[in-house]
Amino acid sequence: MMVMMRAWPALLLLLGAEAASVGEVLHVDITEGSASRLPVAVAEMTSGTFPGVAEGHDAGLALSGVIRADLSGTDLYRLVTAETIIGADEHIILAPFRKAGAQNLVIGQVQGMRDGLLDYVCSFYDVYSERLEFSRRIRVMPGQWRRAAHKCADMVFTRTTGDPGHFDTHILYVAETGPKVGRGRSLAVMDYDGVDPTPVAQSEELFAMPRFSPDGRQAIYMSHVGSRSRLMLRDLGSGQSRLLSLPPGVPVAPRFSPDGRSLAFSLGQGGETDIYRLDIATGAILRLTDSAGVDTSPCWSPDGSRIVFESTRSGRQQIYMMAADGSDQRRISFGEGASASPAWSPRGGYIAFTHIGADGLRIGVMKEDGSRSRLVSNGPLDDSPSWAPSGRALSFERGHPGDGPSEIWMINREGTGARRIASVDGVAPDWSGVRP
Amino acid sequence: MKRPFARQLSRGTRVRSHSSRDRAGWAVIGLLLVLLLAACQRPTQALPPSPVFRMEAEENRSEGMSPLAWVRARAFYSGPATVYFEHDRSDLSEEGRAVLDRLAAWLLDHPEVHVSLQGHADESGTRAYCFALGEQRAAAMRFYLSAKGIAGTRLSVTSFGKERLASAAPGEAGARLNRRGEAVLTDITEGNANP
Repeated sequence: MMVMMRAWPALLLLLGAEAASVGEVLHVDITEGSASRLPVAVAEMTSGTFPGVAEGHDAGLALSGVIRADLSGTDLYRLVTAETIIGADEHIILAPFRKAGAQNLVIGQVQGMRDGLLDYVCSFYDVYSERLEFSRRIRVMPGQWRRAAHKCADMVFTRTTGDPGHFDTHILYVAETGPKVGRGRSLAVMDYDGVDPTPVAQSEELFAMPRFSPDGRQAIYMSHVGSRSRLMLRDLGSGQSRLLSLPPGVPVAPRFSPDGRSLAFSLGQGGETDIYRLDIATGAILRLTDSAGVDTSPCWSPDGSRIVFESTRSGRQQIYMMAADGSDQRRISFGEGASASPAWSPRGGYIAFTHIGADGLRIGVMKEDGSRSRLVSNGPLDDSPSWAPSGRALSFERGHPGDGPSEIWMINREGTGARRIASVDGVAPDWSGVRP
Repeated sequence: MKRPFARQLSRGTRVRSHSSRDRAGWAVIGLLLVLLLAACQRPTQALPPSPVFRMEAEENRSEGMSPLAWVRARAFYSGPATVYFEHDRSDLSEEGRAVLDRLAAWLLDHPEVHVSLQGHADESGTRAYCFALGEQRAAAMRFYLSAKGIAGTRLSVTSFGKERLASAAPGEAGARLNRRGEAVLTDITEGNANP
């Protein structure tokens, strides 16, 4: 049976109806390590060109290409093509997509410019029941046309998984240039897919281990000023920065609490490194650990009540957990080798970490209680895992012995879809939350 | 405390100018001989990198100090002030202690100079841990220098983790050059806030 609809009026008509069904989650069965991929088609719909959009290419086709790249980077979807390009004012026919095996269809329509903004409508159909699952209007500045596509892909992701998407996001990282010895470094931000890498701070003596604030407006990072190791808090909008006032010592690995009010970090003093937390507004500092050796790499649980960290108190580096006031410290990583650099999934349930083994550094993922630990990356020098806001993907750095570049990689939580962000060289990626 | 470094140091060098210049000359010749001998004996082995005065440190200093004074300050102290460590360790070797003995002797002669002790790690470790390890190494140097009579207020401790490698050679050849602590002279107005 063939369903035809006049695309625009139908979509506008249905805008009101979609609100009722938002929150209902479709049917992607995720089980540990294996997912049945949802067959999805992303319609290729022409729109003509618009100034400032898609470098002068057809905007509709360019945006659908971005959505396709977003969805196919996960291990949740199987992209299906119907080999048809739909004209801007043609009827949409679902039959070819059904015939191609698609269960769902994404249609992104560029509807033109209004008040200087690009008007984009993102619609999601169930091809079999011929039902419109949702349709949303997205309006963006022309120069941010890719965000409209990322937002549309995020809506599809949320609808099919129940988790926030991670496509309209940024990655903060330390960009590197030149040979390994004397390498140039700057603080930079890029889109999650490596597009538009932009320096946000340069010509400081040190940039290390930067982290976004939860709202993405600020960055905290390790700096070096006047022969002292310092923490720098930078407003990414205004570019203003200030050095935090801390006890003497070498502060390492700062990270915001989920409410953005506190920082956890470690401080090295006289050869002992312990974990502290700082109330940013008042400057009050609380010491959380007091063990011999190195306690570092603190990371908060999503609700802010607990902190995961690494410690050498039992010999080599291992992962530990404690309450956010420092009480109830206990080890959660065991087994062969050592483990470090823990990162708590923003959706809860998982800890990513760096495994230190005979074959170098590799990224691993385990449950919050330390069970079901497994390695997901191949090394040789993989470190600094950072979760996507979806909790379903990770970014990390990959180094190589010798004078090669430092690479930033992405991987799905189950270890599939490993890919390098080829447009940049850098280290210490930090994945932002979903942008407003 | 905020007297310009330049005036202090040039005053110091004027008083001791003869002996110091001679000493500097012998030290340079001695160092060259050592390097030459090392090169002859073990032609395949990589040499440690040349010490130790960082260009950026030099630039920082130039506003407070005349270039001539700085050249003299460098010449005073031409032995290596880089200390090397074993893998994942921060205890000083015999060679490391000898380097720090020379540094301590020089610092006792130059009470106006402050030192930034900068710990580094090779790239085999995880990033945060390398910063902690670098701090341990610099702290070990500070402890040793303090025991040799250098006031703690003149010695600041920092760590660069694995962010500033000295060698990109793969494997142990590069790693042993990267596991190090460096003593860098700093301006007199800084480096005193960090014990």
